[in-house]
Amino acid sequence: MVLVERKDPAAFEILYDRHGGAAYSLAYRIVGGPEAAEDVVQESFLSIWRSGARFDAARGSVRSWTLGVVRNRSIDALRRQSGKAPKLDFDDDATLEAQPSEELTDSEAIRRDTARRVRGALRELPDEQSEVIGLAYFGGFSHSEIAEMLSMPLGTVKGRMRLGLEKVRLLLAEGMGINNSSEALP
Amino acid sequence: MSDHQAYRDELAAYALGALSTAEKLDVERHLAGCKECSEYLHWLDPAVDLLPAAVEPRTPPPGVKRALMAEVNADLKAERRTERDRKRSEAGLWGSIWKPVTAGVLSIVLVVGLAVGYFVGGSDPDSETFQVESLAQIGAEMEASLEVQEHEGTLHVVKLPGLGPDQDYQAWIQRDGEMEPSSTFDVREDGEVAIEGSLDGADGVYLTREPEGGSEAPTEDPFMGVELS
Repeated sequence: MVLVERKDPAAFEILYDRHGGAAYSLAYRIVGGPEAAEDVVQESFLSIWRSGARFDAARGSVRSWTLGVVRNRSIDALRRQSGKAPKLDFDDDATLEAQPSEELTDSEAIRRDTARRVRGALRELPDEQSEVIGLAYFGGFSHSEIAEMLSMPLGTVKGRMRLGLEKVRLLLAEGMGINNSSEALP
Repeated sequence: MSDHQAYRDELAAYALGALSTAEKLDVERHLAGCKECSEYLHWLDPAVDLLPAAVEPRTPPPGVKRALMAEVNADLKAERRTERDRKRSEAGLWGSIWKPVTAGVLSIVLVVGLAVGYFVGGSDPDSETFQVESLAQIGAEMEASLEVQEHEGTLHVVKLPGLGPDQDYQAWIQRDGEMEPSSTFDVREDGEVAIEGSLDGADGVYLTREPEGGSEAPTEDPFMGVELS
């Protein structure tokens, strides 16, 4: 990222090669179509290039930061569209499994494994928890909008978000060995 | 329930980006002075960071990367031009010489003539025209000439082959054995291009094909050139 900040096009190309696929997948999921997703990915990476990359390694990985930029741009694009409802299911395993494993590189295989575990953790959640998480993260709705949409108290929405995220976090820690000083709820 | 416990619901919504701006600022103020809540948020982060992994993987069309890198190279090209103009302006030289050649419009330029001082003559009695010599065959029937007037050069080209989206033609001024980068240009048809930089004391002008936006040093041997000294 230091090289990207110094406007090194080769480093920027590597950044895109590593994270462009995930960025496009996330954008596609949020905005719901290829053309809008392409626009979002291009806008996102150009903003990274032109802003001089305000990445802070202390706050997470390059991938998380990049996808955060893409997610915000996608939500903006979604809001510019009218009446677009986000797709909320996480059941994409059939598509994933259909792809030949021998074509995967090691890093892709690890990512696929991570994806399976994350989807597995999300499926473990009660529907009401995965629903509010999906509406917030992939739909870009605020907790008050979700409360109004689902006709439930604001406190209930926030409580479901917390319970759902804590459960996902604990399930991921069990399955992926995430080391974060303590796997238990702090 | 402690203050920290009360904030946990807020922190989950914060991590998901589901708070209003005012609520977000309130949470960030609290986080700045609360180690316990910061640790909880840090613990929660992986659950949110990994949510994108749950989506169906898709491969972006190759055109996305091409368009992106074209923008990046255009940015770099513009920055280089700005920097050159600034330096030229500071030096009080050549500020009015450079005429950027828009990709796609023109045709170009170049000249180079290893035809050492092959004088062709021009309509202006104060100008000299040199035939540019082909040094490597990159296209059939290509021709070029360099018109020099008061140390400023204009390259006239005919039937120079078009390049791909990732390449530009670039002119180089040879001086004291060194190649100085000059104008970059694209070619769609026959045309002319101003040579960026003074030809005063130049030994020759040469042309190469370079990555889009140009290079600081030639990446290939010149395919056309003209000796001036």
